[in-house]
Amino acid sequence: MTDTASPGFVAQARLELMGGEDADAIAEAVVKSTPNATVEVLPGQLNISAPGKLEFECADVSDALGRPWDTRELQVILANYAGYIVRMDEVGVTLSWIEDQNAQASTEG
Amino acid sequence: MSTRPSRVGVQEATQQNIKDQYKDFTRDLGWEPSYVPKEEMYPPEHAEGVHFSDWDKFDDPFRLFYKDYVKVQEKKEESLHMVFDHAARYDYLSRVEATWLEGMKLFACGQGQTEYETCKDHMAIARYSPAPALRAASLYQSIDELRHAQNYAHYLRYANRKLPGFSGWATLFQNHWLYQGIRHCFEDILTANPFEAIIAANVVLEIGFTNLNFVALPAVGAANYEYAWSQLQLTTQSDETRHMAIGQSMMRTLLEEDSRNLPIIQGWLDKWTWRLYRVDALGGSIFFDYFAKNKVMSYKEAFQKYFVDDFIGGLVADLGPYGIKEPAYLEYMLDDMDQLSHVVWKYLYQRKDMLWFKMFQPDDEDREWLTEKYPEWPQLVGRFWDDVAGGRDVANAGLVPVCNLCQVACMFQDDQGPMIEGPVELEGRNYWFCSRPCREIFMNEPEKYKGAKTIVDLVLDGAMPDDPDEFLKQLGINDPGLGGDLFAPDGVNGNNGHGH
Amino acid sequence: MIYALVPDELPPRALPGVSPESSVGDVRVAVLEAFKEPGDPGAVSLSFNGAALDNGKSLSEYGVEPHALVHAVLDR
Repeated sequence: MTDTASPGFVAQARLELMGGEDADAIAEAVVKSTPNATVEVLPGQLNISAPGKLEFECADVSDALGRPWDTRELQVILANYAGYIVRMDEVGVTLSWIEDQNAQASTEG
Repeated sequence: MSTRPSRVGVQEATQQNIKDQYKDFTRDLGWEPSYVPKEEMYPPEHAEGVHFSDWDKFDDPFRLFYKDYVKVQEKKEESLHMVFDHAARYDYLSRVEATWLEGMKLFACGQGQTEYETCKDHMAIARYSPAPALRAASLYQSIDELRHAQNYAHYLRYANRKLPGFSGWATLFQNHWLYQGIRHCFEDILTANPFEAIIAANVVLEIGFTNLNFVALPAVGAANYEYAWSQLQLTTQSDETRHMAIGQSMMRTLLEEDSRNLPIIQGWLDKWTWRLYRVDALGGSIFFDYFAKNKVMSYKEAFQKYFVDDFIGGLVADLGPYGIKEPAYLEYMLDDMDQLSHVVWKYLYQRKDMLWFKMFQPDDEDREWLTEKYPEWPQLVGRFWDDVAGGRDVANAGLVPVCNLCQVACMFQDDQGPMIEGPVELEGRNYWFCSRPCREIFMNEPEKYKGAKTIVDLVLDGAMPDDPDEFLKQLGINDPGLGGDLFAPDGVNGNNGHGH
Repeated sequence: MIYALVPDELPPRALPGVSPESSVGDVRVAVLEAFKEPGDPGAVSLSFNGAALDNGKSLSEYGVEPHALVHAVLDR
């Protein structure tokens, strides 16, 4: 058995991006909306993680980049993610393990 | 002053959210058959016992319209092929670490084929899926897989212009013993019904294992100056994000829909995490720990982070409430973390003259890193490498028992000793297994697996040439000089390791 | 095929030409050949299903069938 099976384990929500200007801007936007997010640099890549849930607003990415940006551009550099894509629209992105479960509980309740 | 006549539906359309818009473009385009029975459109046997009634519950979070799909994919292709152009123009290959290049001969000759075959698998899923939201997503996936296959062929052409060891790829994949594991595993996926195939490919492979080889490993590739292949891996994986979403959604909705689906899903998770472990973890491990001259992370670290914490942790934390447990054979993989890459590397070094890429001994710097990451390394294989450095002939071209499921040689042990099981008799034929998980998976579906022959079976049947050079040709190696030790004759890395 | 397993190496190695009818002595020689060890066949200890194999007998007398795994220890 692993730690992952213990109660209270919270998996990391994560975005794994191809490195570059766009990735840096997304990282800035995530940290703004998800204060407990951490950013890890690997050769050619940027990993942004937070326990359970992370989110960002497209407007914040546009601000950081200095030009309009939308989630279709995210797809070009998103190499991988962990969590459920709870929201991905013209306003922003939410990646979550926890929030979805809560949504689940409320529909069953 | 005239006003625009109001049109019914205009206000509705402009206020429609993306979810509803997407519905117009996908599920609402379908219709209920009445001239043929629904069971003829969607044969129930494809469901393999899975219980489902309301297919509308299945959702695809990406909700890509075709016009956006092509735009996004075009950007990805532009970006990738620009890297290939630069790589060819500025001769990137001459800067790649020599040891990593040998690894590319192994990796690249076996990548495109499974993508190509998986392409048609998703066409079948799109055709037979009763879930409207899955059809478009699966069709995109099938195009994605064709994209991957052709891009891997690009890499082969690019590398082949400069280096030996890539041109034999088609025959190697078909016949060389080193690729039979991946081929057998994928033939199993390709002959599974749609739901099992989605759990195997979209969940276990594309969430669990591709993390290792398509995200973690490109970072290692980049550290060894192989930018073209690294970009190829990352852009492939960017398509995988959509595939993962299908897998996650499918699993979640099947478990929510009917509790009778739980043992079916759990069984598939158990089987496929093991089967794909024997292909992907085994294959990838030696790249982190050996082919990489410049190390980034150990296989053990990568497996812990990307597979155990992210995939298993996420899966169990999320689906545990529905009854999903950690895969049955996870314990074997955890126990194996300290030895997998070392066992495989040693095995391949002993057969270096039967390969189309060169092997090499770990030097002092490598040994230091290996011992730091794996404190038991000296005990496990230290003496073997001392013997090699001392000039002992460790080559072994003889027959060894090969697992009748995973097609890998029975080289594994745990703290109880060798894990080989066999001979196991079934209907008058004897079978060998590398481990209990392989034996159990085989015996769960004996009709599926009992007829196939391993390369050892082929040799014993007399179907392979006796002459060693002819044997190598049959495997796909026309030039025996392709294999051997990269730093022959003395086996020591005396140069800076760059280029050819 | 009959394979031989030694304590410090995996996978086991095939003993082509060895069958249940082979004598234990011949098997010792075959093991040295398979493992490319020089030396005296007498330094090879063989066992099957926990029972030590003695010279002068054939493998079949110990219950070894055409497909089997025999354990060998090489006294270096």
